[in-house]
Amino acid sequence: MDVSDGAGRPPTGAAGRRRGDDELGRLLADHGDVVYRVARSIVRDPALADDVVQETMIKAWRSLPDRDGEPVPRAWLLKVARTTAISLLRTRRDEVRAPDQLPAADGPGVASAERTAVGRVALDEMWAALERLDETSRTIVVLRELSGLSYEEIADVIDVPLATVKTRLFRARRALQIELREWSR
Amino acid sequence: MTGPTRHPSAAALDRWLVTGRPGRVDRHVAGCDECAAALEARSELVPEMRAGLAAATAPPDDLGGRTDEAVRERIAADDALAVVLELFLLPLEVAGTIGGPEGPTARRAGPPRGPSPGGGASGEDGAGGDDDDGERSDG
Repeated sequence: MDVSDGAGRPPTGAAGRRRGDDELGRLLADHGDVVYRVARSIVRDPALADDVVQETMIKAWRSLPDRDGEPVPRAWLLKVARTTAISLLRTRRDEVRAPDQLPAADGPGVASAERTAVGRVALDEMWAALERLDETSRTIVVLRELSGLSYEEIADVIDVPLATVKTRLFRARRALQIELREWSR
Repeated sequence: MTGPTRHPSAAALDRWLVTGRPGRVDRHVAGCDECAAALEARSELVPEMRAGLAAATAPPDDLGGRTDEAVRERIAADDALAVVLELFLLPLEVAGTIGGPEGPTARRAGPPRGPSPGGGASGEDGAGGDDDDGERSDG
């Protein structure tokens, strides 16, 4: 899958710009949440995840002229998000601190209903369990459990063989089961 | 790949889920839908865990609005920068078009006619360092 930065110019002129604006709104409505979740699973820090979403959407928007009116494929978008997140994390790691020390606390935005319902302690436990997984496994779990991607789509996004997706997913979920065994009672 | 008749035992599958060993289970699962389905079921997350995962990675409620605004600002800023760069580089392009490859070069290559009053213009063509600055800014 080609993951160029979309070097083409975005739609120009009033009509083109309006179309581009509409498309940006649609991209955010359709994919904003899942892009954020994937970004968050990689960078962990909510502010960095915000940055990843922005970068990803800009790249998607700039790729529109090359798509000839076709929608941006979700797998492409998620692959861009993952690449962007890893790249950003690498930059920050060099600049600031080790990724393991990045905060997993809530972001600057308003706490969502999902987060409020689960509770602070449970969230901390979940993050502690997630952080014991490697980045690829975390992303695979999120893509499968929350985004409903097929194994084939996940293999495309992560760029690993299909068999690897399955084995990583199964073993990561078992690790979560063990870490969070109290949740099953 | 191990044939479907030699499935690993349930205990072996459980051990593999935790330890990743033995390696032959890896190879077997890659080609056995039945065992893959068994592992899928054994490792399934309870709804509470799935809800916890969703909550842990949940976007803030205002993600769409904030991102929309930020992306539009970034795109507008990038467009403005592109226009400024074009304006900045325009004189150089014009000079290049007027002087061109046939300009100063042609005069130098032509028959000697004495000092040319416009000879200094070729030195200004060498101000290509601005091009480099423009590219750095664009990056």
